[in-house]
Amino acid sequence: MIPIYKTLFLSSTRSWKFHHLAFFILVLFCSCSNKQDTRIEIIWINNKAMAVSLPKTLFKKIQPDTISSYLKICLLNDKDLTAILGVLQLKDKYIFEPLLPFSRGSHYIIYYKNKQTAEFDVPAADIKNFPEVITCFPQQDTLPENVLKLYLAFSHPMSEGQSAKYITLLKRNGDTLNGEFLNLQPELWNEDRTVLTVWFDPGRIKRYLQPNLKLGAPLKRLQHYRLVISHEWKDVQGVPLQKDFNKSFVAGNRDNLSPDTDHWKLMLPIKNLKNALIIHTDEPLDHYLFEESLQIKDEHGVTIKGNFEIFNRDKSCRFIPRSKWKPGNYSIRIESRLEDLAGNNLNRPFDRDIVTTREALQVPWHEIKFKIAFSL
Amino acid sequence: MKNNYWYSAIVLAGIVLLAATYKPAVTSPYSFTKGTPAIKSISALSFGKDGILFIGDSKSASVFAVDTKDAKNNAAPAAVTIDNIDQKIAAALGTQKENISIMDMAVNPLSKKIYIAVQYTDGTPALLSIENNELKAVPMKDVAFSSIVLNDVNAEDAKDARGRPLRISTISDIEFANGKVFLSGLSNKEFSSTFRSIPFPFTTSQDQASLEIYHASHGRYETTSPIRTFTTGKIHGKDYLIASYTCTPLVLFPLDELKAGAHVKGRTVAEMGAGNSPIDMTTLTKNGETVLLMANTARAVSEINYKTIEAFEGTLTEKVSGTAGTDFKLLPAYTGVMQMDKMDNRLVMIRKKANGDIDLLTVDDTNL
Repeated sequence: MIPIYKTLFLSSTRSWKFHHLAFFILVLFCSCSNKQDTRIEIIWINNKAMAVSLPKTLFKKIQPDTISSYLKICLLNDKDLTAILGVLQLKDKYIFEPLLPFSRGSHYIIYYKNKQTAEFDVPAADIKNFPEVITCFPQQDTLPENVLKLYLAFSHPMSEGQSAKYITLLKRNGDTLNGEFLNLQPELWNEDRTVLTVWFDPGRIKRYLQPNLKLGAPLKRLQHYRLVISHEWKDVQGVPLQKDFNKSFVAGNRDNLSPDTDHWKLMLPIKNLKNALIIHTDEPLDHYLFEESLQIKDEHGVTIKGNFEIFNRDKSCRFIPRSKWKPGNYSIRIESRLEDLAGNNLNRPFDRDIVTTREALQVPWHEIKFKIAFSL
Repeated sequence: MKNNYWYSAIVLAGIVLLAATYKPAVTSPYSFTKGTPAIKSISALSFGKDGILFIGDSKSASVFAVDTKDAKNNAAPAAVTIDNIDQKIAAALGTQKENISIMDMAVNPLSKKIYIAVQYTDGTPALLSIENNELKAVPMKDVAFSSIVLNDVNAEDAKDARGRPLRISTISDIEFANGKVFLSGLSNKEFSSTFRSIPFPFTTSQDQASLEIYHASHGRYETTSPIRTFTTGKIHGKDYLIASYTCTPLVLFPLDELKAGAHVKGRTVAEMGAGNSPIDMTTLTKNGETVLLMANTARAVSEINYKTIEAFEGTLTEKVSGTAGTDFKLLPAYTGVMQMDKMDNRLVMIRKKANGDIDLLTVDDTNL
């Protein structure tokens, strides 16, 4: 075809050129559509194999309305030949949309009337980009012996429902501890599945509950521990972590007291601090709650827009307003749900001894007032 | 004049055609609309009346009510046994069993059909049902449904300090009773107890109460804790929320006290032992008596007679060893139960056997 096309093109005869160009396009179209007609294609949406398109040529001489009754797609090596659940639609091709996306690295067989007709692969994920554990909160080396929860922050969205298999707590001598963490299903992930909350068993932390009496607290004071996150944990694409993540810590004193905002210290904004208001607390707080439970209000109760940054290993917070401060009275409003590392919030300790501890508060927030006397 | 007749005829025909083709958006007495519900996750399932399935969606912090059209009464349901149910579900979903989690199971009280919510490792949900011992996909396209977004009614504008809508992280259990959808939630941040009651058909109304319990050496320590599973039941003729916690106590709250903004202290009636978390609860009649059955992570199904709960008037007041409070017995044949519901007076369970196989089976009350 190409030599003819070349020759005709060189002739510079308009009618011939267009006539043969049209013929060339027609032949090209036919050859392309022939190629497409025999091809089984995976339809990808957001990097997930959401459907497969099957050419009509696979089912020659078969009435389209009988296809769905006799067609089934099965996993390779499924002895029972279980038909994958999904919907088959006839467009310019047959499109099969499974109930769940096809699995990465899996091989599928297409059967018509239980006779193997075709097959296709869903390629494994591109493993140039390994997921990793970015950090574990709290970041301290010494944690209260009644620490309530850990946050594991990952670089990629992770697979759900299997954390118990991959999170291990070891004693200093390397012995594995069992039952320290609460096995919750569904697990407590953030929206994009990059942060997992892991609770130590609250029944063992709460004083005099049966789990506490029988098994003791999950952590013992002055004992050394190592948290290990296994490299076998996979992300949503099926790619495992590149390496184990380790965090060593020692258990310190029990913390039975609510955070007390009266003990917090403020550094008011001055010019060389770029307008930042800095809040120093007297103990590390829950990283994510600290970040989201503060608001700065002016004397009319209007929220000052700006950004909060947590630093000093969750003991301090910096607020940078979008606009310059104006002279006036302000307040820091702290939601009562803010917790320390042991689950004590501003209103009540984690478990309150009603004989020795003051009545739990019922206020929605606590306030610290401050004044800015000059314009920056 | 002739033209006017034609014109009138065309207008009339148009009106007739419109009347014939017009379908109101609202398609049922439950104010349902037809469409495809945007369900992002399925954390918990519960059936209401008329084949209405309530789906707790943690990721979108919503409850969906879906008309399954599965409302034909089945007076004599057959027993169901499916060995290696996890493997069979995985094969029907085109993947390996390691890649799926069974999130919840509910039995339609009319058709007695079993519904199973599954989640793929990437978070994609799927809803299946069992018909004649076979797995089927539950249609979710072009169905009649309604939904409600769970607001934090305590927040001044239902938004957090950054302007993001507040949401509970996980819906731990859901149940329809007395015309309301009850729902317990777990937060991935604060350790708190949120419990909501939402009138159905959905309106803009939803009540959230904060719940407190007394715990061991009871009367001495007071605490909040997230509810792991719950049911509702009558005790001395009064409706109660019977809740079991992540830290094992079994606690009663009068349903009529759980109102918006209420701060309610529950009555702990039992502790279910150490190293264990409750999974599911249901109520059956056994030997003519009403019993509460509870599936647990680390022990066999527990059985508590409602009469003993009624007889236990107080809250736990003294330090005791082992388990405490209301007597309960274990059903040693039924360990490793992961999901549980009832089919008439029969127990339906998905259980992991000692050899690791996961089976679905029904057990008659006479065999419990």
